[in-house]
Amino acid sequence: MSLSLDFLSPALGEPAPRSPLARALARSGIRDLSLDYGVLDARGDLTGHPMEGVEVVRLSPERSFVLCPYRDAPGLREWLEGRGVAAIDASGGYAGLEVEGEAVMRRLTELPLDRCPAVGAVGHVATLVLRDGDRFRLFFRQEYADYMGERVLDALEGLA
Amino acid sequence: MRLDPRPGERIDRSEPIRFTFEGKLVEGFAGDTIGSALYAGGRRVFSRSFKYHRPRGLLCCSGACPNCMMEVDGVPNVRVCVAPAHEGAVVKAQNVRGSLERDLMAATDKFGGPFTPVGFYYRTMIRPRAAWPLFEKFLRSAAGLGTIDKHARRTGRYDVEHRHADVLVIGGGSAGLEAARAAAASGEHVVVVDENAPRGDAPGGLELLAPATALGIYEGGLVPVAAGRILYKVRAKRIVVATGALEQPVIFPGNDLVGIVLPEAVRRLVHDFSIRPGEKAVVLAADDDALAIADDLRDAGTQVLEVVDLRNGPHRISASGTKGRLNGVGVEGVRYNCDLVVASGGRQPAYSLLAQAGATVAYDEGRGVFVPRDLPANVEAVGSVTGEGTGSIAPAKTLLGDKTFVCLCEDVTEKDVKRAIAEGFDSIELAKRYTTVTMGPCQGRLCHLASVRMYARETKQGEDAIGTTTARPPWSPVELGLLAGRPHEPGKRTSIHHRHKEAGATMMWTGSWRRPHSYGDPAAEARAVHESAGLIDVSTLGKLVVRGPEAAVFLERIYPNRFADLKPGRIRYAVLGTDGGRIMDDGTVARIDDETFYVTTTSTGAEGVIEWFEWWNAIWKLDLSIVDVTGAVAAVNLAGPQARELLGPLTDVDLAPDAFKYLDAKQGKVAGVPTLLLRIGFVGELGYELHFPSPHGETVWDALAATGATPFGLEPQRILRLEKMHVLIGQDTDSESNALEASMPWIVKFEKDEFVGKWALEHVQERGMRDRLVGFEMQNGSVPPEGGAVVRDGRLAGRVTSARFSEQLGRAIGLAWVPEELAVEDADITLRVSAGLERAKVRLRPFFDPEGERLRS
Repeated sequence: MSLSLDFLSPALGEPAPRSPLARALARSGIRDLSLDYGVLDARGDLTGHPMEGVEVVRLSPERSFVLCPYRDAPGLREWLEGRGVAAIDASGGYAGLEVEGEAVMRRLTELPLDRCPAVGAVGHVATLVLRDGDRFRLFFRQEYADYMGERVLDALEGLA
Repeated sequence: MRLDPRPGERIDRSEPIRFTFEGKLVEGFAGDTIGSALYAGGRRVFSRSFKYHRPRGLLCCSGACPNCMMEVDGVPNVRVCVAPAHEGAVVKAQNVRGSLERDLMAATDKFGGPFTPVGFYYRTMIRPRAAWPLFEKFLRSAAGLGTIDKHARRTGRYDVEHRHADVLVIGGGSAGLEAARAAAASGEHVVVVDENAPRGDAPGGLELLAPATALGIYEGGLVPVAAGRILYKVRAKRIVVATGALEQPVIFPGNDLVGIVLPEAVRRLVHDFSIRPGEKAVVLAADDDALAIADDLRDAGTQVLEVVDLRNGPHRISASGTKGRLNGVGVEGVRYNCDLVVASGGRQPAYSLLAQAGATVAYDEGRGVFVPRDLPANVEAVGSVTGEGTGSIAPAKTLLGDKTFVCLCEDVTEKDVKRAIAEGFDSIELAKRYTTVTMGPCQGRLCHLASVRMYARETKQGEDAIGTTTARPPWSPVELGLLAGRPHEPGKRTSIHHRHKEAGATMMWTGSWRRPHSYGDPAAEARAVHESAGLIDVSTLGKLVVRGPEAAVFLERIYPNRFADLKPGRIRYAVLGTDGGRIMDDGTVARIDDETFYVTTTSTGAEGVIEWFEWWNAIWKLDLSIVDVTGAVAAVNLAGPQARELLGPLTDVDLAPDAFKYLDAKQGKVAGVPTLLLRIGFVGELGYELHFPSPHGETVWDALAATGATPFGLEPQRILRLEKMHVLIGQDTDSESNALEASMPWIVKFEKDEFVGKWALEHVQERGMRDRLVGFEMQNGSVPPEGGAVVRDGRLAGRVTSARFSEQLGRAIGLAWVPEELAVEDADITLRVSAGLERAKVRLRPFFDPEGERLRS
């Protein structure tokens, strides 16, 4: 009897998923992106498959992260698989938040901020950093959510 | 004495500042340093020396020497000559018994000399050996710098900030600023670091970090910069070093007396703080800039008795004083009664950062200084650090008189250096370690050149042959708090972590994960698993999806057991071995479909297994992908005789024994959440391991806990797995263990053509078993320590790897490595328990449910 990888997709759950950052960022004013974005870990060439409303971050010639609306991840995964791209729904594995300003980022990472998107250590945790003007979206493994929430809030406190 | 207001002074006389020194009120102005305010108030003795407790006063007034170190607001070793005065500061002397004026330990200077020559602690006080801790305690309390309060709590905050620049200029003097402006003019982003607070506005177009100190130059252009309570980590494409040159003391008897200063001290006292440095002065200098200090002194109202140009040949100089304070100096037999001697032996390029970066350093005979050569790529030097405009003079032959100090930080005298050479420490690197010259807070700024010269003279070699000591970071002392940064530790937490905390769990570290040790009563939790059902969070297990047309081939090659024949929906135990046949990790492999496998690893082994998989497939180039889904998937294990009954109402999966057998994998929903259900068990009871998306961790946990299942932690899990004799990789095995000797021969399929480590395991098979991992049962109930010895004929024969008392079995049990000949059911072994030996029986089959009937029920 064949099984499937549905157990990786939080969007297929009937109850509402809970953000790993919910406690850490409660009443902080920092935007929690964890349940805004679905994350697909895709292996293969995505260039021939234009997708609307998604962001593709190439990590290597063969590997990309595809960021899409949280609920769309299972469908998009199927769509990609149908086109020969191996994709795993890794949405449950990542937490995300948004911070504003280079000042706080300088307290968190040695990544050159003028070269985003980038992957590197933010607060000593491997993080995908996307930049939109003065706003930075950070995606990292959800098991570090409490730590990263605390770390970001502490950095902001140091600048206050 | 404070002078009338002067143009360019740094102090703001409209803003008084008050602080205390040794409990007494001191008044200064905004812009003062603590040192300048104290000096203006008449204080001349600022510290006691490291070893002899001699009085010491301001020498450099620029943060280079050790003479003004005090405790400020509880922080020891603060150089008060550059530390800004601030309202309410509490300043204390350090390294004194009594007061700065009357230090009881000063007896060391008067009487201890013959008993405390250089390196005395290597020769004396070493016997009887048992008394050394006492001697050491005494020596450490008698000598040294400030005291750290071991119980102090973190005060204030220290931060780390990262900067990127095209050009980093270290040193904001004229040469540094010129280089910075030129780079900025060409459109480069320039950061300038300077040790002094800026006068006026920062130069246009430049980013200025000041007052700040570059601590070193590391690979990749990384320069840590200490700026108060912020450590900047600056990465620059190009580094320009403009650290200038350092005024060198003149070496003569009595050269450490209070009142002997470097010219820079006079410049700062007069121009920055409007203080008259002394009443009567003699100037001894070896360069024009230093000689010009006489004009500054006269301008400040000091009577200049004599100005001696040391370049006009060696001069015989000797200073004298009372109670450590200068009262006169003799030059070529002429005595001058004075309270101030401004002495400079010339200027030595401050090349240390360049040397750290990889530059070579050579002695320039013409100038009499060491200069940097062969700069590494992307590092430049400008200004006097290159040797431009510098030079120094050799010391005159020593006269009889007071002690002659080569190194003020460590109280190393000329006599000490000579003695070290006589004892055979004839290289400067050995001398550094034996005498500690250059190892003090000044890091050789004021003593390196002098000690090299002394070595050259005494060993009759050239300075170039003597060479320099290795320059290492930090170039300047740095507060430990600054290196420590913020107190954060990147710990991992499962998505159910907060539920454990709410339930009162005691948390523990397993690798980088936080996990529940227990919820208060490990024995009761273990009992619940045996009698009803227990619930444990196993989200920390490593989890991989191995997927692709050649996934089965890959697993077949990398594991010693078979996976090509594993049917979809079935699970198999997996032990991963190294190419040397050693056990690396273990877990399970479930086949999802023909091309997809779901692999679990130990909690601490996940990263290593992923690397191992990727490394091998980089060689094999099989058509597959390896995706780490450890964090994406939460997992809980529901185990116990009632597990089926409790789980049933929550899931759409048929849990009937015939429909869902042991080692089956099924998919369905649990509490509405898509779940992969694995029928496996580590704790010896009927069990279901549920894998589902992490964001639903609390939902599933809450639903299962509501059925009445008892949460249990790692400690009861360890008792339960021991009852089943299940091996814990890393606990019961080490880097030398192999699957055959770890009593898992059934996992190794030698009939396979190839697998990683096959040749090594064949070798073990051929040579025969030497040791074996076996179970043991204590005969008297005591629990041996993990790591404790298995003893045979009075000699070490093996070791205990795990041991616990099992309430279920009513006895102490464990696992141990024993010689092969003892790996026999019922064999007697002897274990060390506390100070004595205890007997145990070897067991080769699980202690609990040996046939696995409960597990398969």
